[in-house]
Amino acid sequence: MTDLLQPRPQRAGPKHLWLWILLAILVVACLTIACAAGGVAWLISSGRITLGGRTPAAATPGASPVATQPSRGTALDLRLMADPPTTLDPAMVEDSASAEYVDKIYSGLVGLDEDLNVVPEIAERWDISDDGTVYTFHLRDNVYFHNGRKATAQDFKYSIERACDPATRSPVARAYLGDIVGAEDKLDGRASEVRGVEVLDSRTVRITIRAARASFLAKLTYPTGFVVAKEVVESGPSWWRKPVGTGPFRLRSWDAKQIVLEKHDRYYQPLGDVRTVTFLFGGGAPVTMYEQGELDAAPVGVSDIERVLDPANPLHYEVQETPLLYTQYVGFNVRKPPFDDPMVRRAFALATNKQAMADVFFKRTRVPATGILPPGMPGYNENLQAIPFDPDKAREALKASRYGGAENLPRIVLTVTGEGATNAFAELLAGMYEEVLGVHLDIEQVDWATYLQDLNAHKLQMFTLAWSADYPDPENFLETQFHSRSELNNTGYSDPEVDRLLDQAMTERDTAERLALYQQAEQRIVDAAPWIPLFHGVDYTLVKPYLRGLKVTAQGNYHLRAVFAATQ
Amino acid sequence: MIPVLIFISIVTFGLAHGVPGGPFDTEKKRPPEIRANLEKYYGLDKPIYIQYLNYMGNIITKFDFGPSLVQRGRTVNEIFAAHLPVSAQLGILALLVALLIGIPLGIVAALKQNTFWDYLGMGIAVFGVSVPNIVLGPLLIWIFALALGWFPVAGWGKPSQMVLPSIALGLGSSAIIGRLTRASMLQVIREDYIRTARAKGLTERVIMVRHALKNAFIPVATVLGPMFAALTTGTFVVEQIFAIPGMGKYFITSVTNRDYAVVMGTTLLYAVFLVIANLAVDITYAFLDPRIRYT
Amino acid sequence: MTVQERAASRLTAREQRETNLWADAFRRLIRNRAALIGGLIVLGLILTAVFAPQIAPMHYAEGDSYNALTVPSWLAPFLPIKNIQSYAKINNNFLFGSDELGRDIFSRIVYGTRVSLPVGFMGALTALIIGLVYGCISGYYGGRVDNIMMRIVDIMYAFPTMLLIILLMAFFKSTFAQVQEPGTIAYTFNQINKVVDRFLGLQGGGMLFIFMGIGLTAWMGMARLARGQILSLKEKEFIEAAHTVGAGDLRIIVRHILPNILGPCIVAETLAIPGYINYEVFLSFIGLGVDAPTPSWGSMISEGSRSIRSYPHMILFPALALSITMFAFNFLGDGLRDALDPRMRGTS
Repeated sequence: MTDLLQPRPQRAGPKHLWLWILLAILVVACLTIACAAGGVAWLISSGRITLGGRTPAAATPGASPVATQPSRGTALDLRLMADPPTTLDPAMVEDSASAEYVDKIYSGLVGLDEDLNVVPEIAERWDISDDGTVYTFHLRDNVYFHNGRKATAQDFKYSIERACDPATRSPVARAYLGDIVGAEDKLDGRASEVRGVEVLDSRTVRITIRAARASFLAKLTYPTGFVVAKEVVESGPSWWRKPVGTGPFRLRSWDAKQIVLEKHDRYYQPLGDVRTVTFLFGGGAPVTMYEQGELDAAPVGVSDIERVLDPANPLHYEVQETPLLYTQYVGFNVRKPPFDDPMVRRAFALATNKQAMADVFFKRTRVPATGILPPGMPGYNENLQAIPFDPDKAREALKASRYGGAENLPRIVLTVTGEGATNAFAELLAGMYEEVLGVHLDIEQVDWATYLQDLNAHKLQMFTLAWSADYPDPENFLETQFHSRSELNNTGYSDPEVDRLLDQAMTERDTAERLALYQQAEQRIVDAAPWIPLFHGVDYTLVKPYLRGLKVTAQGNYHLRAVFAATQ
Repeated sequence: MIPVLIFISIVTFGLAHGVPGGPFDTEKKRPPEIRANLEKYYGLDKPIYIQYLNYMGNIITKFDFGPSLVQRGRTVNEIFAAHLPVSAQLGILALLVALLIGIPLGIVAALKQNTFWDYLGMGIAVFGVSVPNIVLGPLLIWIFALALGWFPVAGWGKPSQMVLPSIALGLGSSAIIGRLTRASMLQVIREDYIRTARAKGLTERVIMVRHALKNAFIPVATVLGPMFAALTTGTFVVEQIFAIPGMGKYFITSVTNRDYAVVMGTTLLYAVFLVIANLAVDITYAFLDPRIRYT
Repeated sequence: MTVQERAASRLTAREQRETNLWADAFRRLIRNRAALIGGLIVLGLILTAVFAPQIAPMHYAEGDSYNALTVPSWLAPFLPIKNIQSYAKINNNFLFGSDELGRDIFSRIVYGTRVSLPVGFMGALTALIIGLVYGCISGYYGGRVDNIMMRIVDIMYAFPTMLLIILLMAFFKSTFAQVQEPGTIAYTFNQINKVVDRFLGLQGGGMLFIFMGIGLTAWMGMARLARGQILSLKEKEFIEAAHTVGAGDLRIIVRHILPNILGPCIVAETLAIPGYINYEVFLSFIGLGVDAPTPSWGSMISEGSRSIRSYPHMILFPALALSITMFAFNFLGDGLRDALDPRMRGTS
């Protein structure tokens, strides 16, 4: 471009009036377009004009949420910040950004409460057969889709079969619905229906699973099991751009800048005062926007945490703390040298000063982990024997390894992805091992897609990653990550005893017994150290004092069903 | 123009597909049969030249840039429709800023050549050229959003949100326009016809407005097209800093996500845009100077 | 040099005129105060880069984790933030404060010159070499060769530069930057990259890929400029004279044409240096530039912009360093242009 912007010699005489006119037109056109675009946006956003008879998108709240303290019973128009979804089709959801919206627009047979217990949703109650394989769900009578139609048992059969239809191409149906009898046949195109889902009457649905599996209900809380309306889905391939569900909120608008949800008036359970929720996209500076009154709640990042939590700062009264179902870890490829030697892994684990890293680097946004399961997850073991931070023992362990010391170790590459903080963190880790063990790590940074490909191909020697639970069951951590037959076992860890414990836990119906089995397995894994569990996540979110009941779930999404305007 | 676009599409296609890791690599590994199914659906299982031909065929016959590989169920056309207008608005506003600041600056500097005003104007121009928008953006945020609280820190939509990004993007170009205006003004006021006008006894104001300004704007007018194209296609940093949901921000995400369809589509579209802008300049020159003929 | 050639070259009176030309230019440059200051700053930056280990009090990757995010005491009173004393560490440990990992920001800025300056100079050098060779061939041979070669340049010009660089960097980073088996092309590039990084005294910066990305997108302007210059020189008497005495094409280009067109080309590239520096800053800003822990002003600005509300010192200093460098190169470039061609003075 550069040379175009240089002046070229001109021979133009004064006769080129047309060029003048052109310039004038251009300027006027620019002005008009800009003003029109800006003006219309302003008129809409300031509520001066309305579209389709409704007060549109970014209505009142942005203007002055602070100035007018709403009293109880006031309709709330919330403004939050979130990432844009990749899909609003529940069968296709596999990322938490999409789950944020899908959880609000749709609902399923069962759901999770704030403490991660499975609670009735559309099914008001259910019976489980003695052998644990047959679930009979009794539906509520007052369940309506956003288009006004009543949802029935037939809709559930349709929704599950649709999710398992190969033509839907759901990436997650096998994982979440694969336990149902006949689901795999349908997924593989061998059957036209899912045999295990039967409609007994319009308010009763019976689901049969292949073998008792205690985590089945928890899996049903994932969006894949949510109910969709057949007539909407069949209206065309992009039906989910205008989704219709049974959830507490319905989609009002969705564009490049934001998603606006509004209250679903015929939702079957009582809702709070929220009238509309605007999710703004594009992670600008949420805390600053919160301080300027543009957001009603905002996640606090590491760079702001000290200032916000500072007792001298009035903001610190507005911070909510939520533990997240999230474990960050260092993973080893246990099939590649030097980490095929358990003593080397142990040495690294002993050399890891989690507390210092949590304090220094993450400020207070992480808590040091002892085991694999995060607190808040059923089966979390307070008495787990963790590998402590002990530099002397670490050096001893390295001496006891087959390498006999740091100098004989082969080149070790720590692969990381992402930018900014991730790298800084990898540097911190490497510095720590250098200091304690005298081992030099080469840090290699690759982009996310490459990273995942190499991770899945077991090419990475040492890596750092986090695992976030999809449903609140220890199975989702221990079996998915450490069973020798699991697809997601990225470390290559394989222990027949752990496999046996996990298999046994999978079918065990007594909850206490089952969790005990998981705890045994977890202890064995922690001792073998294919992972060094580093931290569990803690979410800090600022919430305006005029809101009551706005929570962040352990999966990091907003819980908006019971938000009320606070009385002063 | 056609061979240019074919070449660009081949290079982009090759680069985008040459990068290891595909759009279907996600944290939760998909079973191979689902992957194969997805790849088949999007035609990624075919030989690469067939993929290319199919892709180009759809664009030419139907102006269809195909489905996005990451935003499932969304087409690239829809993504363009959502994000391009934002970048275009930003580009137009930045051009406006460039004109509104640059032209007066250039005129004043030329009329008061070698005075304080000239140095001030050209100093501002050097500032505009030297301070990159990566610095200017945070600087504007710091002063006008955080310290003074006049404008919001981020977002796009309300007029108040548009001010800072437009300045951050447009100031560099205003320096170019300022220098250009000054240079061509200086050249014009030394022309014979200005001297003639003076000799006729016209007032200085009439001479400047009627004769000088008009002609001094011609070179400025010719850079507007390419400048607009450069501004609109160069919004990456500003969109990133101000969290503006435009095409630039989306493009960067698409590169990391391996959304080939979006990467290809954006590159092609921007290339067409640039080619047209350059063509417009050449045609303008052909009109202005009969000795140049566009062939 | 044959007798005939010497005669031919005397026709140009090159040696004689050249010394005068360069000496004149240098005198004019020195007299231009802005350019002089710009030049001195550039010189200072080069020295900073060379002597970075001596100047920087700490290594750029070395962090004092217990002193992370400290604000320098001399700066704190000027920051318009309430309560900064109560949440941030304010002390005199670091001249410009420290970042999230307790690394000295001053040291990182000093080492950052080892990223920015090589990128600027290598960008200019690559563009100069490719552009000159390309432009010379195209302009000198003319006709169909010229036609085809310039069409290629036109095509390259239509590429949206930013998009192309982003694509190239994504491609290089994921293809070449990983551990590879020896013997492949990717491995070779990886090794060359290691050599380049070691030469610059950086651990794992991935600088080669940035050079390549910028070089591949920067030569077209130079090719056009060189071709234009040659076209105007080609018909001059002294070239024809050289032809008549039987000098070869290569010889004519190298001995007679290049020296005469080098001046404007160097000026053009000096003016382009800030642009190349900017590209690297931009790439590092969006996370496609140098790899951590190598300090790039771009990645420092990116990190700083996230903390602008709580720790503004993190963005302040790298932004200043970048701006000053930009000013210096722009002043120097403008000065050089005016000095080499006084008639151009005052035009942009």
